[in-house]
Amino acid sequence: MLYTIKILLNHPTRLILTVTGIALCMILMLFLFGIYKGVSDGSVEYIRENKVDLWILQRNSTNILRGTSILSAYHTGRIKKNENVTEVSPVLLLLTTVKNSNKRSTIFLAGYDTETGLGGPPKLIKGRNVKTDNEIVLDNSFAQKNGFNVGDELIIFEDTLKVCGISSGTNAFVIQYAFTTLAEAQSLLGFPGIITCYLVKLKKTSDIDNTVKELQTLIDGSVIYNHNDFLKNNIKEMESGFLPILYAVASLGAIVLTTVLSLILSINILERKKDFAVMKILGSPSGFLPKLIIQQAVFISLISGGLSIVLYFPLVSIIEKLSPEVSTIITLSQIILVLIIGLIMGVLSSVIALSRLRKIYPLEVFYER
Amino acid sequence: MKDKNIVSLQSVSKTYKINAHSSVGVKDITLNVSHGELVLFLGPSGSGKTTLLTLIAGLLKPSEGIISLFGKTIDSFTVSELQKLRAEKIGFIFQTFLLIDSLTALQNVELVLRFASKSKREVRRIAENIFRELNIEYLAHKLPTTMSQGEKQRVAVARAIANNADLILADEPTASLDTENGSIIIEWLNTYAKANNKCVIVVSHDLRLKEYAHRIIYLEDGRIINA
Repeated sequence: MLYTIKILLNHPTRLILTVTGIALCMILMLFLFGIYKGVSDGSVEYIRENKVDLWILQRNSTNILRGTSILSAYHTGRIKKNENVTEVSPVLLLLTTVKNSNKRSTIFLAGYDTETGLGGPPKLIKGRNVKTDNEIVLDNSFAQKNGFNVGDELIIFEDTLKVCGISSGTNAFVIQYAFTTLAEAQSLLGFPGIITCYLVKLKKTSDIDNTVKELQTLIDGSVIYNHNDFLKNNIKEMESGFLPILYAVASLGAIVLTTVLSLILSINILERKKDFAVMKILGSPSGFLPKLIIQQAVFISLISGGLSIVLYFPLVSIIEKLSPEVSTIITLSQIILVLIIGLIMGVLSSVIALSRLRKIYPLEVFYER
Repeated sequence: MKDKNIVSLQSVSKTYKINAHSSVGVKDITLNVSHGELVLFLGPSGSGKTTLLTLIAGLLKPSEGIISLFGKTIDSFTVSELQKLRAEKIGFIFQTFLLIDSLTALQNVELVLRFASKSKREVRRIAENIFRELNIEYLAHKLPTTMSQGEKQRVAVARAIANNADLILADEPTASLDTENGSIIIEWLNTYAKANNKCVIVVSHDLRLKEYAHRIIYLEDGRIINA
């Protein structure tokens, strides 16, 4: 280990640049994992926190994130009449544009039944819930990004709405949720009798399967999911759209990390060619030199890993301040995973560099005067 | 019981094939070197001195003939056995010293002791003893880049004898040194061979070394011309 460290410390500037480069690759990976967790939690937080027993949507719809569901609003009363149903809330979800001075921003507006509260914001961090038609609750990151606060007014189409609350857990990264009354949302859409889905709560003692069958016959052209299945559907939908991009960028980061480290190790081997040849002559055991190279890679990966953790949190807080819609959640298991990936890539890069070691012929030193 | 000959060569030849051409490294060499001897191979450049040294070290395979080290033919050694043999029983001295620049003198010596599987504690103790014996303690914590040529070769000798090597192979050990330092190094090697009953093989074109050798072998065009 002594010689490993001495080799690396021989060129301190190079070591600093290498460690910084690899730490940045690891920060990129940590950031992507953080974004993934942030988005996956944020995207489905609305569904997860609305703890209802059933979600009723239009037939063939599986989720609300990337699908269309249109149902008639007039089934509310009929659903309520079912003996097992305790609460029902029709919800209309629509993509719409908010006008603020000359700026336009898109939101995912949820119109819900304010009496039951089902389908409303999962958590309020400022102000209060919507009470009347001309009020709106905005997602925190959307409000920050667009400079809205409780009491401000904004325009959607021709309607002016007053911000009455700020919610959290409603940032789906590419879009943020906002909440208003069902009537307001329907009025903005221009079709009063249309909703997206029904959120239904059942009696604790009710037979869910039978109730689903009964409700299914009641609402023609609908599909009914229990809460867990519907949550899974939405997570799957979100992941199918987001994960491939994340994997591609994370893989790119890992490739860059491996390439940089492999290059540096190869340069180190070439520079130490004579030393290694002498060691071969002096009888270094077979595993000694490869171990030396692998130790260098592991050493660099570990220092880089440490540096990436130290730098990650301040960097992310800067990014989140500059772009409030960027919401990251990093867990200990994710940090450990990135460190393991860094180590594996480090060892892999040393394996690539080891091919250089095999090309060192000890006899060369006798003829290089 | 120790074998009488440490090194034995029987009709050893080495031919290098470069493209379609063949070039003779050494031709039909037969010789035995035993304990307590300092053998000097003298000859001009290209006479095959270094080829002979690398053949004896097991770094090159002969095209013909048999080489035995410590009573065992070199062919019968596996790669790891040869590595072990070089680490434990053979010491090397090079013309350009070839110390590892990023390690101190003491660490350079400790490295070969580690190759010989000595324990950490032993390594430090033996290395310090060697520096004391050779009276070069003042060099122990110096980096080779800060040493003179003579000092570097002293450390190189310390490295070569650290494992109490039975065989020292020295390739032009005085070529980069002035007369005074050259004499010190060859005297050390002479003493090491005689006092410890070890075998030292020196290849050189430096005629000043003749007076220290127990045996002189002249090489020319890869052949022994006068033993």
